[in-house]
Amino acid sequence: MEKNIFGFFNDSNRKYGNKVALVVDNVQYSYNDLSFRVGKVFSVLKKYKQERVGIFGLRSLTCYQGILGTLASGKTYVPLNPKFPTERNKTIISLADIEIFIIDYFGLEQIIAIAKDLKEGSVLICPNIIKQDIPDDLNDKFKVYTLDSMVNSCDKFWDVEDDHHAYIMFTSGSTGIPKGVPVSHINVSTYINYLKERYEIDSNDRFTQTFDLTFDLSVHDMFLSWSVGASLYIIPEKVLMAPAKFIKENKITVWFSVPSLAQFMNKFRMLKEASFPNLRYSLFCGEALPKSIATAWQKAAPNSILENIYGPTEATIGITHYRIASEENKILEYNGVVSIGEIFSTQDYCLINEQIELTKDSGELCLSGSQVTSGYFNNPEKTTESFFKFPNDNRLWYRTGDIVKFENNNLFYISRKDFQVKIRGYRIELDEINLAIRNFTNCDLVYTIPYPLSSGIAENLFSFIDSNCTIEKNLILKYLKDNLPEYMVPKDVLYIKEFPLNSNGKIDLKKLSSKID
Amino acid sequence: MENMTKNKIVELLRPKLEELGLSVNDLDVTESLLNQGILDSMSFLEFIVDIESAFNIELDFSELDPSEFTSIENIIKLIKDRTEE
Repeated sequence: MEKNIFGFFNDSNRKYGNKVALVVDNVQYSYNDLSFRVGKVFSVLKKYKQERVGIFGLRSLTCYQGILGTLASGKTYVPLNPKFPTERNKTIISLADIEIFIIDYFGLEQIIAIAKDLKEGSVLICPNIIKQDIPDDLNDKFKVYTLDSMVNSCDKFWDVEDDHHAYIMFTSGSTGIPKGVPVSHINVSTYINYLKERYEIDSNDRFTQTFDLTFDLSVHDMFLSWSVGASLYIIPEKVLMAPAKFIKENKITVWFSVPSLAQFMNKFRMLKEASFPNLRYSLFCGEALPKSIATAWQKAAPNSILENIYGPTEATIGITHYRIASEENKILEYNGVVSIGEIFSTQDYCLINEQIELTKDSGELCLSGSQVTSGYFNNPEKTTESFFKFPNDNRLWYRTGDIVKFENNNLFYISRKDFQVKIRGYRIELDEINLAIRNFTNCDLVYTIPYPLSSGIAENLFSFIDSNCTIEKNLILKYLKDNLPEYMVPKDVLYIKEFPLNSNGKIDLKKLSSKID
Repeated sequence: MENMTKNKIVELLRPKLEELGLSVNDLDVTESLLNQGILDSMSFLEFIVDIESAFNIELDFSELDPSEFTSIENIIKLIKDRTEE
């Protein structure tokens, strides 16, 4: 059992030092080499007492070096995303009170843009940026470390307490303010140790990394692969559009992505029969997995075991699994969506109704156990909304907001309780988009819907606004682009005279979506 | 020939450019359309499908490295290769 999840990497470094740990942009880094680079970051970090470190980059060597260095020094990493608008990154930086950043060239661009909002004396650690590329005003205001000055490494790392936070992930919040989910070392190591036992994986495997680091599924890729001494292949941003060639050329053996990516590959004819013979495991998580996609993938990867994984960030990456039968007619599904299966045997679940009473066959899924986190970062209000205890039971339960049913000894996803949807695996509170539009237009009647929805996966978002609104849609879309992550920006804004209502007096989503064309 | 191909490609991009308030002159033929913010990964492949039908060619996405053909210049090359085959 590992205490600090850095140990997963460190132990493999001792055993498999010369093996490849990481491949970024066709460059291979052995465990020894990566460890040496991690030591450089660690040597800087150990001088500072601040707890949280922002990782500001795009799945680059710097990011992985930075994450490992942060964990080795017993600190907590907070991923920031150069693809997000500066406003959103600024919000996260201020909510998490970040004063230390590890940055690559993409992160540097945003740091330059928001430099005036960062605290004087903040620390910028740039292990792969040369000194000349740092503008003078950054050097004046901040303590900057660059490739040129980071020469000393270190191979003695510190240990941490089990409940210490390994990372904080920020997710969409309905009030318009993102919520931080702190995840502890024990949360992550429970998850990793469980899957390490479940799958027959070893140091010869080659894992993919398709997720942005602001998505907690990226933690699975990193630490599951490093825990067995395997290699982690970062699929470059552009290659993610058509990763088939990459999978084949690099003889990938373990695939992990959102179902949307597989759906996308299927749509563009990339799932040809037996085209991925080397794949041994294909895992999907993050949103509903349509049965049609699972079967198309199985045909393309005939030697692979397929699993559907389900889990909210609050319960650490994933907490239920379903092994998909290779025979199509044996796959358990509901409404064309593959079952989410059973809960990990080390964790607990229950189903409740709206009165928070236990129910048997269907209800809101609640989770408890060593993977379940203890609440939101500096947000007692949201924590009480989503975390609770039953009378005479001291265990903490997390309410997922997902309505599921239990049938044939397996769980099936039915719907969301509130207005949260997923686009390409990203969790989105529709109200956060509505709120942004309301703030900008001063118009109250705003409604955003996911469309088209096929087998539980939404392709796009469309926002409807009262036709009395005089603000042009291009201005609204521009404002949203500047303030929200790209996946939250609706495809179009439509002006509507009257919102159609159903018999319950609620806005009729079906009629609303019929207005899109 | 190459100019005709280019004009045809630009024509296919026109609606997208108008949506973004850009003119044809803003296009950089050597730079990736994704880096220029004109297309994202989803709309890029859809754009390539449009190209397939406009030029009557078929591209195999499972054999292509997408990072190699995201600029107009490279797309022209790709079309040239296919039509000569």
